[in-house]
Amino acid sequence: MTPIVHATGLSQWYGIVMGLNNVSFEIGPGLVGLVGPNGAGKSTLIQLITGQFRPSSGSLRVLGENPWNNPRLLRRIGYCPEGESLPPDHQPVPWLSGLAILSGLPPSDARQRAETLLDRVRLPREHWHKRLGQYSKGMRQRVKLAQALLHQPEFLVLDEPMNGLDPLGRQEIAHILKESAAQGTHIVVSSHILAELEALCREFLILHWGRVLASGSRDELRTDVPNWAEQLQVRCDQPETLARVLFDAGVLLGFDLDADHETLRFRVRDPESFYRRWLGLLETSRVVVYEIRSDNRSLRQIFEKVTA
Amino acid sequence: MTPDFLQSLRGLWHLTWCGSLTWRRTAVIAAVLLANPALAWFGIPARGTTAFLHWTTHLYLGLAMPLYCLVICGGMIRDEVQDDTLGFLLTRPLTRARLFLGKYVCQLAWIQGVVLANSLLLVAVGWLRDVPEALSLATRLLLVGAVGTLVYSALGALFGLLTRRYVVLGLVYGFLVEVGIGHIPTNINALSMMRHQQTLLAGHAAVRDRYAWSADGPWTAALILCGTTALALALGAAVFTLREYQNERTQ
Repeated sequence: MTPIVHATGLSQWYGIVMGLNNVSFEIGPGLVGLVGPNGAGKSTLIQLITGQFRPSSGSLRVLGENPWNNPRLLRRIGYCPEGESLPPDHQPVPWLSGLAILSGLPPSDARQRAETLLDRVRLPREHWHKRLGQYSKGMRQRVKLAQALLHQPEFLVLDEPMNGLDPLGRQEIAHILKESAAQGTHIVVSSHILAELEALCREFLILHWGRVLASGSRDELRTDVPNWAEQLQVRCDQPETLARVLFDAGVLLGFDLDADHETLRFRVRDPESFYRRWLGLLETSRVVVYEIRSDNRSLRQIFEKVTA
Repeated sequence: MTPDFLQSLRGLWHLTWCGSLTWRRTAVIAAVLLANPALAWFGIPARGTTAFLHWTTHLYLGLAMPLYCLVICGGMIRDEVQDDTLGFLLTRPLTRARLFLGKYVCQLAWIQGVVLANSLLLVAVGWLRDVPEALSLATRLLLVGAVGTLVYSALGALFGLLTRRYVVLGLVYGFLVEVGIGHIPTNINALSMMRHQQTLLAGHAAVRDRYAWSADGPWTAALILCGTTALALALGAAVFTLREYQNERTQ
């Protein structure tokens, strides 16, 4: 499959400060999450992708083209910046209309398009007459997302689009992004709210200190971590019996019995082989299982392992 | 579809003015428009030809107008960098050079309007004060104001790209080149834009007699003013294309 973003030996320096350090990676189609702590290089990468920086070294291709000063490519990209800044003296509809005209939309359609998008990002109409300087953080995020969608880009690049939104707002934005992805838009979204990114994306790129540490789906990321131990929690009627059976089968790395709560917590070294044998082992033990939960398959835990 | 230059201009015009005519900004513009004629009213006595000429050719065209151009055009890109809103424009499908030139044209249109209104108000003050030369100087004043606005706005736009202290740079340029070099009695004073403005103004007999400015080569003077505008804009477009302003903000 053709990558949407392809970087080779990409570096970006701000004077003596390093933003990205000789990274090579590919970002595929669909919804991809950029994961990393503050200062990891997420925003730098996003600004390189959107042609705001010229790489200090290395090469970067976005949709097969060099993004620096390339209007033809920018016509295909929508960008939502991280900062909260919006021109304080503008009202949303005229501002979006101006940007729409600048993006190549016919002036006669610009206002209509701006209003449609403000409705789509669910900015209540009673706030449309206010100036952007009077907007809350959440309202600004919605306007920023609307300006990124103005020209129906085929590739959306969003830097922390959920910052400042309440849980309902996040859900709404996530819905819009999923809807856009379903319509064929490729999306790269960065966030430090890993649980939300996890619910939104299938592929991830993990950045840390200007380096790409890992990329791929959650399962691919997990298998890339050396000495990964799957941690499971099983609530059942006879946790001791289950522990004995698992121990005899030689799959356990360690376990912890919580008899009062009928719970067994254990770690297994080779999850693939364990899950292949799991049903057979359960049958052998003859315990009644009430609940099985994996404790360390979340993106946050994978991220902690990868960056450790 | 990638927008052509006219459509880019329309979008930039929309962004520059349609949404930002707030009461506060309108009040500032009104104050700028009215301050100069109001002060002139008190500064020019009845039949005060000398005071009128000094006010229009020195204070207005030599100081107030260039400063106004510097402040407005110097901030056209720099303010976007400072406000962290440049990214919204840089990621639109137009080249940086086109963005720079488009913003210049939008700002220039406004400045031309303000300068035109200001010049007319000054002429009106002169006429009301019974200055005999007020009406005969009007056309020349408007023309020189229009050409001067072109060049000082372009220089202001260039200074704004070079440094965030563009007002300081503009003042240093003013003292060194316009005042300093402009007064050296050799050909080097051709570097001063003010000198070419004076050549155009000297076409009026009262100005020529009062200040002994040379009226030779008005077309050359106009050509140099327009050429300097083009050069400053070309330099500005090149600087804006090559320089990473987002990078500067991040640092």
